[in-house]
Amino acid sequence: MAFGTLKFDTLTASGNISGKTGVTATSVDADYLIQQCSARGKFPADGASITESFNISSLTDTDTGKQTPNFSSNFNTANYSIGHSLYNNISEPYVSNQATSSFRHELYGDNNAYTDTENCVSLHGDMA
Amino acid sequence: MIETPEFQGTHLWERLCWAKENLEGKPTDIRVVYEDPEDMDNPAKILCPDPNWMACALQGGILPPVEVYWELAKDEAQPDFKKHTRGYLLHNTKPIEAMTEEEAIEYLIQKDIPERVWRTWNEGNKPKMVICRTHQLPEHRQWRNSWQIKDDIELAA
Repeated sequence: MAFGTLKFDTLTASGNISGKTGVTATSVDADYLIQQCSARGKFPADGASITESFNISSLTDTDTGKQTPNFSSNFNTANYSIGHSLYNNISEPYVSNQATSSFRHELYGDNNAYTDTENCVSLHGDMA
Repeated sequence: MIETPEFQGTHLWERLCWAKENLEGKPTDIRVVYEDPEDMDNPAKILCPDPNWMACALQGGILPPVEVYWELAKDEAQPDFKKHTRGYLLHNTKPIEAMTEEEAIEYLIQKDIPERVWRTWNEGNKPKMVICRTHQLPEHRQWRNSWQIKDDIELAA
C-alpha cells in the first residue's frame, strides 16, 4: 500500500498534545516537529568549531579526544539519553560527566588512548 | 532584521526552535582559553561559541539573563538534587535585549565556564582565562594534552 505525501503547517488535535517541554496544546506547528530531539550537535575531531547544532550554547575542547557540549536550555534531570555517531571505525565514546547543563564525552581509540574523532550526538529527555 | 516575538513566558526550548527556523547562524572566531584550578592535571580548555546561540544573543529577546542559569546551577549542586523545580526561571524571566559580540562572549563565559575560573581570572601567578582569536591558538594538536596559558602572556588592555 502506498501513501502519498502529507503536507501541513499545523497539526491540530481534538484533545491536548503534550510536548517535551511539558506544555500542552491543541495544535503543533510543523517547525516544532523538526526539532523533536532535545539537543543535537555535529562536532569536528578537534572540537574547534561546531558543524551543526540545536540547543547547544558552546563546545568546550577539554583535551585530546574529550569534548564538552553545553546546552542553551537545561534538561530537567541528568538522566537524559545520549546517542553517539563516530566518523571512524576505531573509536568508542564514553560519557564521563553528565549534568543538566552539559555533558563530557570522551572518545577512546584502539591505540588505548584518547583520540580526536569527528562525532554527532543526539540527546533526548525532559527539559527543565 | 526579523523581529523577535514576545517570548517572555514561552519555553526556552521552543524559542530555540523559532530561532533555528528564522535566524542565520553567526559563527565567531573568538575563543576562550581557560585553566580550571580544580582540574590542574588536565590541559587548558578551549570554549567555542555555538553559531546558533550567537545568533540568539545578537538578535535579542530570546535568551534569559545569565543569573537564571546560576540559580539552576545552585539547585543542581545540592546533594539531594533529583530534578529541576525552578525551570520556570528560564522561561518566565524577561529575556535580555540584543547583545554585541563582546557582550555575548562575556555572557557565555559566565554561563559555561566554572565561576571559580571567571570570578578570579586575574588572581594568582598568571591569568586563568584568556579571550583570543582562533589564529592565536596552536596550529596543530600534536601536543594538545600539554596546552597551557603562558606564564608571561601579555594581555591587551
